[in-house]
Amino acid sequence: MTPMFILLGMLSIGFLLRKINLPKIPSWVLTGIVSLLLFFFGAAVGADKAVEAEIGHLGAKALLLGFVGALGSAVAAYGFLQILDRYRKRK
Amino acid sequence: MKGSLIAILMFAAGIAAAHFHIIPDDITVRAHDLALYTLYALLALVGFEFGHNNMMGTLRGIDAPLFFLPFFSIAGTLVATVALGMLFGQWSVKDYFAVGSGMGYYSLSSLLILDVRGPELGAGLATQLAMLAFLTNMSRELVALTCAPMFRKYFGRLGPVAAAGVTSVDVTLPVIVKVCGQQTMVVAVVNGIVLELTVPLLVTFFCSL
Repeated sequence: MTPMFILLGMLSIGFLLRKINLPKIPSWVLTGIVSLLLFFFGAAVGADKAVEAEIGHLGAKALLLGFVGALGSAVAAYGFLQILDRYRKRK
Repeated sequence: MKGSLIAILMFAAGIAAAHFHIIPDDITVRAHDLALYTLYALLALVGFEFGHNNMMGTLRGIDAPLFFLPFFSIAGTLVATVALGMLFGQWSVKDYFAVGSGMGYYSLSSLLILDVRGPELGAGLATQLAMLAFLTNMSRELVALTCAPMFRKYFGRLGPVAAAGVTSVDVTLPVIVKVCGQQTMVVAVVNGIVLELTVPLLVTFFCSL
């Protein structure tokens, strides 16, 4: 719930301040923070002994399953957009 | 592609830094909390930008049918996961359905599988299956974070949203907004919330078959 509160809270503040001209956040700042997030995420995984113990025999299988699952969803999303576009064109 | 490579490198650097004690142990021990605070900072920035820059115009322009995306996403994941799982063998179709229907929610899906499949499989096998679900769904989150630009390029603006699964509402939201634009934010949040509600239902359902 905390992520949602932060997101909605800052969204509300941004909306309230919409008339004030503020400088746009440079793209490299967001890229840098995302990189930091990934680094800490990696460090959390690297420090977890339970995960480390299982990665040996489950890791490759799990990574492939995770990748294929994400890919399956992305393909379905592409198909969904195609169906939506065709339906609109017919209308 | 360059963005995905950098993301993978940063993740690998984090693992190496913790594993080989390159970073102080004080930081390693708190890495999970630091990742969480970094995520909060990202969400704060993304939320503020969305609210500040023509939020009402963006909301008015959203296409209602896009909210059917979660159901296509679930179907795509289940088909793909079971197809690959059958090549691996070891577990049954319903077990691979259960693992896949975690949709990136690694903590809840693994606990549910351990709880529901435990009596039938026994503690040892149930723990193995739960661990597979944990690592698979954690991998999915990692893939969604690092491969978002690639999914955007080959599968359109909803590709990264669907690939992210449950995590499109928080962890991967900033990356989705960065890669697909602010107009994707509401779809991503709704996608994540709907999937968060379906994960416990689907995992329990498949485990109980």
